[in-house]
Amino acid sequence: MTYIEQQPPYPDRDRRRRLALLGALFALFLAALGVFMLMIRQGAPRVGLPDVLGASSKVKPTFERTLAAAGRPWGVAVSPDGKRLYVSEGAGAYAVKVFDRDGSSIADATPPNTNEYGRLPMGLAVAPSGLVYVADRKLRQVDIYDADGAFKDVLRHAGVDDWAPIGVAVDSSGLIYVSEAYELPAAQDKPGVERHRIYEMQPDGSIVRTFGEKGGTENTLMYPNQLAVDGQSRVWVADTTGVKVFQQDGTYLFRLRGEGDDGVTLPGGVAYGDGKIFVSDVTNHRVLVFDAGADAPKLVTQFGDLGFGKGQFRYPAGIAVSGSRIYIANRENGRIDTWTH
Amino acid sequence: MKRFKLLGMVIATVALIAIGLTAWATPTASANGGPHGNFTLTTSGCGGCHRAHTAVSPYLIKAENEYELCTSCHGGVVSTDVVHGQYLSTGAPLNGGGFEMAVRMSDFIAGTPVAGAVGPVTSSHTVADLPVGGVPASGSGSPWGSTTSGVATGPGTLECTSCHNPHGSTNYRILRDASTTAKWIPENADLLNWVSYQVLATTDDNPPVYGFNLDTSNCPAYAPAVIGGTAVAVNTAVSSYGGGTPGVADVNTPIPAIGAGTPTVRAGAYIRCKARYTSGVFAYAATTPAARGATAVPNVLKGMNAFCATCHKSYLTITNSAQYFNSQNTPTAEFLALPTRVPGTFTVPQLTAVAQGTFVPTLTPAPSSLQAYQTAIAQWPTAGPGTPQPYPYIYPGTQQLDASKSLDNIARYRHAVDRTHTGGKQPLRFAALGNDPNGGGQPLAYAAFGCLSCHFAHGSAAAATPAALTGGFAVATPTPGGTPFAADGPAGDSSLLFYSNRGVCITCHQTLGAPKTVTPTAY
Repeated sequence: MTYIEQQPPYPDRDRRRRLALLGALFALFLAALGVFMLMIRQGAPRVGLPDVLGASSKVKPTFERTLAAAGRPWGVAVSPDGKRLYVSEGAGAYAVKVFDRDGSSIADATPPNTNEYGRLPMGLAVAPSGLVYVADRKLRQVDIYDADGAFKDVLRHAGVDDWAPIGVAVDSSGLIYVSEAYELPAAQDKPGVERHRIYEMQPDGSIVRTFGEKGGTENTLMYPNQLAVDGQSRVWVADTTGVKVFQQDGTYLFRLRGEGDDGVTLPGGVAYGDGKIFVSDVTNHRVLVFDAGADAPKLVTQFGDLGFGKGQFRYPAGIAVSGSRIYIANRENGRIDTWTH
Repeated sequence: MKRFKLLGMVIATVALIAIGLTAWATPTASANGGPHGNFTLTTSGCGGCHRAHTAVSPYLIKAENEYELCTSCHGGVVSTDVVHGQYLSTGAPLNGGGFEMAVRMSDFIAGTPVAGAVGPVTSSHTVADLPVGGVPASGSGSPWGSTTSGVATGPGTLECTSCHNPHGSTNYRILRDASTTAKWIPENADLLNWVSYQVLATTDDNPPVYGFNLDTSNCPAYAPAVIGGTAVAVNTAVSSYGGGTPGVADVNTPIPAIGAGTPTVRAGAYIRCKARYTSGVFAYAATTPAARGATAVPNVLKGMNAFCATCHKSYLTITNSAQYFNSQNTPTAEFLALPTRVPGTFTVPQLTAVAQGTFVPTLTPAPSSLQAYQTAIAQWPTAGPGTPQPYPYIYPGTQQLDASKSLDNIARYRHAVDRTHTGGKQPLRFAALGNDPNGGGQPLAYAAFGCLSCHFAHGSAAAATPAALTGGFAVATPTPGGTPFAADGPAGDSSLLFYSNRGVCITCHQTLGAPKTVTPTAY
């Protein structure tokens, strides 16, 4: 029996296959290395931290569309079902504009017996019930509207006539959080008054808790404005020095502060959604996204830059998140933009 | 096999992209957060407005214009709201009024603020990008009284920082210190010198001193000054001109002569030091209380009129000046014979309770003050000692003896300023509010009459019917969203006046017999 040693039909095939496999493994190694380095740079959660970012967290939000026009919009909120959008105007009629999901106007909501010179709606939020709460700085009250913008009622501070609410948030239980920034200079016969604080209120207006005081330190507040409450009932407060985070009982936790291009300089809006905190960085014309799960949140990504065009901001203010959609009050561009993440 | 190759290429590409992104995403350092002034070496207060590497405007600002940048906070977030013209905490009217809305001051005549009494501005200092009728203003123009003669203060672009220094100043509402007042006309040393002299001219022998305060403690921060292109040093041995505290001995120390040596003092150098201004409301006794966390300072007296005159320079000329100065702007014998600039005392006819009182000229006979000034002018502007110079009390060329029919005569006669009010409450603006909203905590001690007695700096909601003349920056602003007025002569331009039409006149000069109440103009 004769064996005829057969040559492989394709002598180089195995060698090429091995080389290709090695190349693939090497490329995979490089990819892992790159991703690892990127995670370190961008502050994504490391091993051991809870994975709260979701599969989409590594993807930078993308501009979707300009949804609606509004006069110098300051606050924005979205209904729980995502079908209604509410925008507080800082110019023109100074109304709360109500839009549907596609940006069609539903109503211009205003308190009765007021005009554009007597009201100044700013922060706004939607309760699980669908009621819309709007902090009006001039009227010194929180206006309440139904889902379609019909005026329902107001909340006032029973013990403070010159209450000056500016921001509002509502948590999943219906508890209402209101920020106030008030300054009364000292007079000769009485001391000055400074109320830079957060109120927790029941829907009936009764105050559950008050916390915060004016100061320039990490755990104090300096003109608090917009608010958000995350899934752990932590209260995220935007003020003129950063975003301060408190437990629901008012205990200070930490802050998001200025740290170069990754940091918050002048936050004008803050929102919680999908395990993340979104912060509008007003004078840097961008939105920063932080993970909300860690005790020391890290920047996940940021988006937007200065300009008039699509995906550009001029002084972004309020933010709202509904599912994968981000609503942003593009203040000086006079419009509401939506992004997806 | 091809699949393996393709897979390898894809992964390698992803890897390279990831690495590239890593490098690209490397952050650059910059400062962040914080408002105005009191910066430390480790401040994080720069990044709120500036970017070191990614700015889009001069001064490394990451904003296209100052109005939008400033109103990010001062448009509702903090207490001082210049857009709506109110202290949002208290609802009180902003001293400067508002750029888009303002409190109708007629409602304050009776002394009681009316909540929500806000209307659209009918005139404003149209800073760049201020929306006027829905259209961003260019901010370009020339201020009234600035271009008819002498060194013009325009045209230029008016911005928030034309008057305010966002990095802090020694003044009320961070109004620019004298040395930097003229961002508007940068490095115009002659004009600044001139303004400085006008301020000096308002000083008085008798306390309180009006118009000027120079604190040499701040001089080192500015020295050496550059005057007329020549660096000079401040003579630190000369401590006080104009008086840091009313009543001190050196209140009216003559301006020193130019020394023989170098460096030496040139009068113009003083403007590099700290001349504190405040609004007309607090031209007197604006003490900063320790309660505000600041260092208490003695009563400091301000030169707000001179501040305004940096641009509106014609309005600081002496009334009747055409009679007192010849065509070379040198004083006539009639002027030199005057015992004071504005002689006498006059009483404003009583109108209402809030208008009671007597106005006394600030410059009660003060010949030494005049002499000091006359000594000073011999050194003006920089020609050296002994060289006669045009009399700088009026800006060169502003007043011409025979120019009564020309624009040069724009301020031949003008309403006196720098008057002390004694007695009851001063009738004009804020007098009825009681306390210093600046935080001084002092009873309102407004005693000086000046530009801001009648005019707002930002904008006014007063009515104006029939139309007043308009021009320069005081362009009428219609209701937001309305049709823009023409740039010249629209009905409704209130010329930044405090009360509707000419209510500022009648508030003091009620000449129709028995006292009676002014009825606020209905809006």
